[in-house]
Amino acid sequence: MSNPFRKWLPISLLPTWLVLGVFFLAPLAIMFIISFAQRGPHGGIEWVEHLRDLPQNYNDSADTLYLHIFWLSLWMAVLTTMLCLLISYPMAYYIALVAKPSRKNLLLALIAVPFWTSFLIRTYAWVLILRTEGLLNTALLHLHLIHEPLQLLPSYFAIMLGLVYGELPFMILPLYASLEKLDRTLLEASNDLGAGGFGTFWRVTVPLTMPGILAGIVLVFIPSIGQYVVTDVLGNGKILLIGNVIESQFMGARNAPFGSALAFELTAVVLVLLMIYAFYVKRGKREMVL
Amino acid sequence: MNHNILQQEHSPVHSIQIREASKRFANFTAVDRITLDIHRGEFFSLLGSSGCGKTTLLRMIAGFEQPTSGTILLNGVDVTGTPPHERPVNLVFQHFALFPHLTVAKNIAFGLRYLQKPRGDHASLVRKSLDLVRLSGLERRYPHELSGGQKQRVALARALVLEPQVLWLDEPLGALDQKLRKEMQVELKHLQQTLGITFVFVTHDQEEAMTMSDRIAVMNGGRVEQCDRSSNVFEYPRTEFVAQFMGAANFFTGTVLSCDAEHAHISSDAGFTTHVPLRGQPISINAPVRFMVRPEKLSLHSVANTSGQVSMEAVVEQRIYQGLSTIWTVRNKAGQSFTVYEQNRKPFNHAVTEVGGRVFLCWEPTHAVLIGSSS
Repeated sequence: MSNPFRKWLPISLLPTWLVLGVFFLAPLAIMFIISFAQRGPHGGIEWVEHLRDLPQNYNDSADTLYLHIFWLSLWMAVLTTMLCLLISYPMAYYIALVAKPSRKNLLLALIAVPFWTSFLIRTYAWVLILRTEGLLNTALLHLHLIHEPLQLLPSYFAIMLGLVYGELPFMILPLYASLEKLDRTLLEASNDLGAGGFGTFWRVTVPLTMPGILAGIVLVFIPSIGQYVVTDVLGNGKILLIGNVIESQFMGARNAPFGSALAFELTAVVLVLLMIYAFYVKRGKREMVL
Repeated sequence: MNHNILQQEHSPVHSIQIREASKRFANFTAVDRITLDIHRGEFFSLLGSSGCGKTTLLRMIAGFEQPTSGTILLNGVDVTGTPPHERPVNLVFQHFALFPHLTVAKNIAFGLRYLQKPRGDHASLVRKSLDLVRLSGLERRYPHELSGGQKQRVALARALVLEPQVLWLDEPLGALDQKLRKEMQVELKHLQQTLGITFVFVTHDQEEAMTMSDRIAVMNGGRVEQCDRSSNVFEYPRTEFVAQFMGAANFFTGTVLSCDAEHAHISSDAGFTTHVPLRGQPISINAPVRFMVRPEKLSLHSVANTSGQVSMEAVVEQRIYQGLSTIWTVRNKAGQSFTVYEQNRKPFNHAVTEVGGRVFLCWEPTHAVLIGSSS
């Protein structure tokens, strides 16, 4: 390695370590410690006196109420990820392999355009569309497809819509990146060897774009399992997912220790899933050059 | 293999018939009304420089492109509109196009499940075809663990395992180094002869084409300039393009004085008269005409040859000694320059003359070839 910058690399990485340490690792450590404390009478933090009381918050969280919300959040995130994948793959495929090269940048820009507006505002925009006298209901009434407005807010449907809408770009972009790299002569080779469109898709396109699929899944799944804004706005505060419960512990209930414990359990679930992901990627790398 | 020979006896001679096929893109014509017959079981080469339309023609026959007009028949069946995966034609791609996520064995087995008539155990078919290309034992390797030559063989095995009626090879040796190319040329020819499958080889290398092919079609500007046996394409080119593409050529101009059934009597602009075989080339009396003699058919002498050979006086301009042979460049009085290849049968210092010396350029009149204008 003759790169002269190489010996400066540890020093140039210092800011990164600093930011990670101060704003990520330290708060995480503090939260971890707090998760073993108890809520004080007026909302503060009280350290437990007996060792046996340490896991109190974790024991409390094993209540069916929380387990149910955990399970529900997991499913909402899985469903969001699956819907994003199903919608994004054809779009990414079109942009990468079908669209004229001169149109590609325009189409990619269109996918990025929503980022110009705050996510919160875009979520509120869905309220305007979905509410009783909103755009959707007005349009459907005028078309005489329905006779009275649909009650779409609050609903799981609305939350799912908001989630899929918000996370879609994070699925499309990694998929696009891996489809773009796909060698088209491999598709022709598959065709030439007798595989039709369907066979080529499942035996060549999908396996070769697996890195993009996995990256998209991680990028969509993690934010959607912990989010609380979409549920808050499109669920009117009446539907609770794990993100909302954690938020309410910190804010409304002023029970930071219990909130920390729940947050750590969520982190643990995500970590386990990420480890499974890493295992598959590692195994995949041995099988193919990515 | 015997099976193939039996099939051959009962099937038409033509494996591929291309009838007036054209492919026009927005602003140019890649393939221009090509009519071509490729015989069953022959090693056929499509030869031409890049952009001559050979790749487009191949893509039309494989089914990746649809001809704008004309038809393509495989074994007498019109396949013009048939999608690629339904054609009994297989390709060996220029850069091999092996599936990077599959092992050698799985690459080779890829097409087996789509065969109309299953031919038994896939594993043993894969093993047989690996034996055929001498790669046994590499079943579990991935393409990135193979050398260029090995990838080439896997690509070949992957196509051959399907026993296609026609195997197309798109410049498959282009990515290999010189030594490996020579080996693969011999091996491909041998494979083709053992299997009896029609091989269509697309290349820009005329030497490679001649080494392997039974017949060659020389392409230029979307048209086939000449299609003939390899030696005929080299020895008796019909157009200037073919003459120059196949090897070095010396051109002469002249006027037709008279002609009989076999020969044209030509008065050359360089001052000599000669009888040049017609070989079916259309000519008219008193019209200007061009003919060609290959450098290896020419010889240099210190005196004019009187024993039926044509002689032309010239001055030696350059002499390049190459060990096996010497390349002479000579110039005649009219200022035209000619190239002579001479086998070094005698040592260097026995040469007929030195640079600047006067010589006579001689050749057998029957070695001259009339050149038509490019159609």
